[in-house]
Amino acid sequence: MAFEALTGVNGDLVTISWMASKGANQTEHYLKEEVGGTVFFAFRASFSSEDLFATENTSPFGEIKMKRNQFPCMRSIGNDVDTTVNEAFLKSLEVLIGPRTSFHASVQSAVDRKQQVVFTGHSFGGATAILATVWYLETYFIRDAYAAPEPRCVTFGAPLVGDYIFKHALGRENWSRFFVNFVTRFDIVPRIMLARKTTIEQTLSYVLGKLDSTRAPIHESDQVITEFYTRVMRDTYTVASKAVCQLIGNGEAFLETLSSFYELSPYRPVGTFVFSTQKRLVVVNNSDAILQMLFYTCQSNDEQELSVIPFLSIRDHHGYEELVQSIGIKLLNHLDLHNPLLDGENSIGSALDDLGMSTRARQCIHAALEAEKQRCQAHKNGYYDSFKDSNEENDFKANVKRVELAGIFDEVLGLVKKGQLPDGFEGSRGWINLATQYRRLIEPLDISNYHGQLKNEDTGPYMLHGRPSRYKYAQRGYEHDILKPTGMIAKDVFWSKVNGLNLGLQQDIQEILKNSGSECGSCFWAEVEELKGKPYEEVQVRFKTLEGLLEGWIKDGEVDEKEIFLEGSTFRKWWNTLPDSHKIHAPLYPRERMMDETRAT
Amino acid sequence: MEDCRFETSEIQASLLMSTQLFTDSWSSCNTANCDGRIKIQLIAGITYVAIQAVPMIQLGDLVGLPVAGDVLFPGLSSDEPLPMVDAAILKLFFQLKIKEVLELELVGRKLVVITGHSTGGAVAALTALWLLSQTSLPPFRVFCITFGSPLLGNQSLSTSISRSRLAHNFCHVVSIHDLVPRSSNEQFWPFGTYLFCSDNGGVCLDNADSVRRMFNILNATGTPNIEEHQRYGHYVFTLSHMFLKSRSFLGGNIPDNSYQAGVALAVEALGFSNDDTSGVLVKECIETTTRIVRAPILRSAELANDLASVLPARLEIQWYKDRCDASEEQLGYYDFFKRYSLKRDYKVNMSRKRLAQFWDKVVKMVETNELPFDFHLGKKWVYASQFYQLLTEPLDIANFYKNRDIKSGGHYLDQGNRPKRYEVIDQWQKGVAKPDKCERSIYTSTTQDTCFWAKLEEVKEYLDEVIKESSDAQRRSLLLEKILRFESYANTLVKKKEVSVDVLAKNSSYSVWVGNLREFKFKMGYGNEIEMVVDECDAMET
Repeated sequence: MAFEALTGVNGDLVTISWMASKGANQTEHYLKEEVGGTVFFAFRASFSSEDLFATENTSPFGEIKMKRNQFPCMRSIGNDVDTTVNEAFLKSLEVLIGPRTSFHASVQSAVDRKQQVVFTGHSFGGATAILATVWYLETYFIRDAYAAPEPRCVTFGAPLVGDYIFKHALGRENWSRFFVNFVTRFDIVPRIMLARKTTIEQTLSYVLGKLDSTRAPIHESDQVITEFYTRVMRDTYTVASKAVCQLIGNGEAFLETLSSFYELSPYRPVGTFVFSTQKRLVVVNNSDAILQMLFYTCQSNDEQELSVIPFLSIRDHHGYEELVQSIGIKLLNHLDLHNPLLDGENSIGSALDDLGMSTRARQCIHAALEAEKQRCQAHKNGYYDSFKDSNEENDFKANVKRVELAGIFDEVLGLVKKGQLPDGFEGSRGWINLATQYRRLIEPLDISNYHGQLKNEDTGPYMLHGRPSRYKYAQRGYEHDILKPTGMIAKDVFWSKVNGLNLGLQQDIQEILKNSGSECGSCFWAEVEELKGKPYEEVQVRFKTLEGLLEGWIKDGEVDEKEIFLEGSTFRKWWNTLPDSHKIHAPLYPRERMMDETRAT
Repeated sequence: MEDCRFETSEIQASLLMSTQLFTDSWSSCNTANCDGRIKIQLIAGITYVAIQAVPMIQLGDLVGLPVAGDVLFPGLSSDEPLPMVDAAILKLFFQLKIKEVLELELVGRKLVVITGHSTGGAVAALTALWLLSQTSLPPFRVFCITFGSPLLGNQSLSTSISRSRLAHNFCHVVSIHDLVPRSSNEQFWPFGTYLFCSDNGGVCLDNADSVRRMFNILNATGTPNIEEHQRYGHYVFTLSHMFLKSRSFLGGNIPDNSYQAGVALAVEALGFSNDDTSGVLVKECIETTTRIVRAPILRSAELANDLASVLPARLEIQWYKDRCDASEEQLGYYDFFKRYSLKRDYKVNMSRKRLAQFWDKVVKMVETNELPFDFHLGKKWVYASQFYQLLTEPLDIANFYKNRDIKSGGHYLDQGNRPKRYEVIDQWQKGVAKPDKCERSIYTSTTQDTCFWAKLEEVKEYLDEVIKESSDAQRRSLLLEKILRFESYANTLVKKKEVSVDVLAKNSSYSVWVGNLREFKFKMGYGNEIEMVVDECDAMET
């Protein structure tokens, strides 16, 4: 069925998810349901304002950074920034996986039996479902040890949970495809997080009370609701317009000044969205386009519509029963650039008509889709390929080639940082391997150039001021890739290795090793340059660390062992000045002997 | 050239109009106008400074704006001709004691909006300009919104605002029927972003030429209305709620092309029809402003590649320098290049020109806002430009003195002779925190003061003049002081090893000059005591 091909879930799975989500509201935390070998976890929706904005949180959108050691994949490699999510939603996840519920154990047993897991929820329960899925992906799915099956996440009228990096990281790991969000056309909840806390605070608990279906019915002319709708839409509009201007790239400076006066919601849609109208379902995958649709589908065409939409925005939050039943009956459209915006009954054009999309709205959506295409083109146009082609080892002899490559790399990095490449680009193994190869081969040359021109005296130590961001970036990508299946983060791994060398108190060592080249194998020579010429006693700890880690680097291919003891190498010269007492106990000693013997024969 | 695929002038306008900033600014203006005095208030973390409109003043006389130096607007770049503003507005600025009031009121503020209606708006723009053009930027963000305000100054003011990269801080809201913002005096020139509005919506134009063109179209077609000037309250209210309703195309078929459709919508937003003549004019006007070719981010990414492609030229010069340093003539690359005889000098000259071309292009792109806003703060570009300057400016100096018209007697460091790119690069360097310097162990690879040779050329001439005794005693002692000052300065540089080996080469201009000076001193019977006159701190200022 086409629906399954587009969304990754079939009608039955959605129906069971919906039933479970409804059922979950009668429980304290979650409901577990097992149907035909698939385990469904549905989460309870709460309609109190503390569950939307954490009470002590002072940030304008109730946001907080995710902890890197708990969610190592949820960050940007290019910019080295962690994901931002709503703190209240994160808290409800923490309660859930904590010892007070049986949730963790239930998931564990499903994983042990290799069963597929579906996380689902209606309204704010959907937010929990999204975060629970992320937690599952980080805790089980990427770990080699579990070989856990692919999860699914199905939400109904869920609010937005995380920021751009949240969306980017899921895209990079190719996990976006696990998330399906259903949205009825006017439902206010998926838009709420686009508004600032201060603008909706006063009316929030009143409206949440109305959203809770167990309470009293609402009136069409409720002024508080109209006011609430207007405020949410105003902020949503600002976010959407700013986003579209940025996608197109016009008036940058003016918008920059303007937005510094106006805090904009960081939250962005994630995964696949299914919008529903009277006649049809419209499936959209592109996050930028979804953001535009969240605003424009809720605009009104005339005064008459304007007076009822606030009412509909509450009522539609309970329209999911009807939506679920209509899957398979309604027309289905997929919104992307391959389906031209033509007229006709089953075309995108009439789908957009159904969603009430104006000329302006179509343009914004078109711009969003076009931007994605441009990203893919930038990718294909061979920033990457030109880099790859010249990545032949022979070329590296030429200094000129080195700087030319640096230019290309910086260009790629510039695009990555500004989000101008597809999300998946940074996660691809091919790119990571190339970047690593480049780093290992060229960084030593750059280091020698840096010290050769005495830049360390002009600008300071290489590790502190000189190291180009392209290498830091390549290092982050590499470490991310190899550590992913272990669930550890690079910093912890590094320090545990250093602690394993037993050189003294951890705190002292950390202080001594601040900004040392031991952090990365390709910086080996920078560390050697820094240490040489200094009295042995002064740098003993740093040197022993370097030695201790060298073996591992040689094994990983980070450092070329042949070069270390070459006659006349910087390292060799320095090694010769070291006290014999050190050399004999050093892990490098046998290696030196071996080198000398080979040479002698 | 790639076609621009989308048009955002209307989205920008409706974005601004939907914000609280827009409505709050207007309500502040309104209060200020009613009270008849400056209104300062804090709303949702933003400080609004509204300046009241003062009716019955005679506008239209331009007067020079005190720019550069330690006057009111030191930060504004002051190319010829002089930036000028309306005399009456400048007078109001002083009469209202805005400077005094704001110096007290704005302490500790983070976000400041300066706003005003009519003449108050023009004063507001001047106030914002004053805040932004101090030598150091204010510790808060400044945004200026005016409503129906008359033009403030001349074309030179407009260009120097956009060259100083301040234009994006200004937004002028103008009703298409309001006559006040248009001036009959052709010398007045718009700057900043203009938001033209009608009952149907608004359009942002940020290019002075297009704004002028739009004024002309409105002059020719519109029905001017005196009352219109008082209707901004109505516009603000209507337009700030506009976003709730969808904007569909009214007249006939929607163009297939998204850009065309966007322009057509913008034309309708101004209340024109796409079919009649004035509508077509408006359409052309919008098209000329919005045809920006590529997004700045992509452009700067490409520039990284361009930089890599000129790097061979830099390496060529580096290599040239190394060869000169090692040559038996012991001349140094500055003097080698000044002599300019060999084929390899020719090649180096080509490289020098290529690099100059590249950096001129970069500087120009920054000035015309074609690159990302924070481009010049990027570490990569700061270092690349610095490295370029250190290596190549000596060659440009050599080139200058080689081809100098001796009669005119101008020096490299005189106004206008030093290429602008170096001045801009100097500016960029100022924005970066300098790392802690440790003591140098050997001479630097390039002399840290890039104008060292230019300074030397000047004192070289002074010394010749003093030796020839061709001028009067007073001038001679003045020159002598300059010579000694430089001598001491150069000594300090050498002592701190901030010069490259080429300066100290046996036959370099510097070494020769030092020899001449010594000889001169000996002949005149000066001892070392003169040197003591110049103290070291002074010397560093040279």
